[in-house]
Amino acid sequence: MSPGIEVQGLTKSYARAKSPALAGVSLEVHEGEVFGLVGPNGAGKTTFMGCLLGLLFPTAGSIRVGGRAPDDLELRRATGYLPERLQFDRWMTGRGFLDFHHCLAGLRPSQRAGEVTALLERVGLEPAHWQSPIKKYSRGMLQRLGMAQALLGEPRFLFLDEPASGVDPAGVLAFREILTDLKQRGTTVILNSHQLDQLERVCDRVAYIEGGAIKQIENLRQGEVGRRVLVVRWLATDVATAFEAIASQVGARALEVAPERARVAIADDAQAAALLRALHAAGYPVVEAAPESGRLERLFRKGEGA
Amino acid sequence: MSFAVLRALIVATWRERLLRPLFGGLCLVFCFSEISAARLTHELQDPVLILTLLIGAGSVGKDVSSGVLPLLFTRPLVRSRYVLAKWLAVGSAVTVLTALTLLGEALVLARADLGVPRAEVTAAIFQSASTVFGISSVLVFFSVLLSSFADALLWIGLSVVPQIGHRFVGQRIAEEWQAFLYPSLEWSATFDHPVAWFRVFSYFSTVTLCLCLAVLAVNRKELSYASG
Repeated sequence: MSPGIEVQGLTKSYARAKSPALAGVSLEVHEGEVFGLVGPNGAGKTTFMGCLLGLLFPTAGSIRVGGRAPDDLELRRATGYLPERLQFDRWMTGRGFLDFHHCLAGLRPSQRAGEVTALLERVGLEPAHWQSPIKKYSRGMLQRLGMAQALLGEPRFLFLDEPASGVDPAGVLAFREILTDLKQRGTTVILNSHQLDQLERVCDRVAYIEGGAIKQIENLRQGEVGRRVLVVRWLATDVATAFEAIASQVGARALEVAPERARVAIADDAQAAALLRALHAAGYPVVEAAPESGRLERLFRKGEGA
Repeated sequence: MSFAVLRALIVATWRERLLRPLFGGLCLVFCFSEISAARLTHELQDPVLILTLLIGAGSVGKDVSSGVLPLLFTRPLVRSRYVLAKWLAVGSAVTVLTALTLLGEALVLARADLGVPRAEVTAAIFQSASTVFGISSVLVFFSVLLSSFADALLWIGLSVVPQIGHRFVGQRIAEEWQAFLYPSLEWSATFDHPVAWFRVFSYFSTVTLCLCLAVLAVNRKELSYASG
């Protein structure tokens, strides 16, 4: 598969900053991949996106998006961007804003009305607000409008910076559906979000960035490797075999056992499956088995040294 | 297609500039006050400077400070075209307002039996238009460098310098300084025979220089929502 985005040794220093915002970042994002960025505030995620979009000029290193330089106009025809702190021409109406960007994107004027209407419906913005001035929009409505402008022209490369920020639960679900749909269409998405569960649901891979460097890349489509805690819950009943014994049979270690639940340290996905099979064979009516925290939460905690 | 983009940017700038209640209202009040003043002074009043500063201030800087510009530049938009659109939008909007004001003044004077010759009105409109596009080019250049409305403040500050400092820097330098900040073509001084080609060349070179510097600066401008 040809790389959609290639970044080699990307360094970005700001004039008055003591340390670089990005320090030698190298990365390949495959075409059609949904790639997440996670990390603490000030880690360099938005700077990274700014460089990928050609809005910031790298101090060193190279960037190719779809085989082109980030400021290439042809690439920009195939790019959509939703900034975290999106600012609008607040005197415009929502529909007028999309019409304006449809024109700037160089899309066909004859298809403008239909495409803009379809996008406003797709992001779930109420038709009653389409002709209202943007200054009257709520935070969630602004974010929906921002998503609609990012989707103009069905971009091949989509850069989303905190897309669900300030959006109501219905909006979060709508955005998730949009991302799933984009993924099926083969759009390459770079998604920066603090919402770890959202990233975990839609991303193929997630990079943990801290101090301007990628500390780790987690492949969410591969089985998890590495010790973690599984919480197992079962119906209250008399079972002859002790939980600890079953856990040790499969190589896991029971950390805490209560009458109806247990916390157990497991090595990987295979060991988790073996444990559940053994519990079932021993007569444990297991009703739930879930990781104590999500993969990204663990990645984040590990990164923060928690 | 590129013309459509240019037109969209110009129309958006017109609406943004003229539909602001405060600025739009101030422009109207000023135009009517100039028409009234013409009746009192019995001559045409030139409203160019105030209107250009009111409408042209922050043409680019406002887009930077409000955070609108990064999103615009993720579109397939040549940055020089954006600068050109801003200059044309400000220049054309103020030229139309100025021409209407001057025509209003001429009408008022004519009704008071103080009619101004048509040629004089035409020359005044021409001179105003040249001044508007001249000052606008300087303002657009300053606006690329400074955020918000600081471009107008800088222009006002720099235009005061020769008034105060001409004794120290010399009359000639003060005049050139003024010519840079206030590029203008006076009809009679330029086009009465023989044509003052130096004036024409000087005017267009100043405007071109300012626009080129603006394009250069905007091409080097980094834009991001990052806090760094």
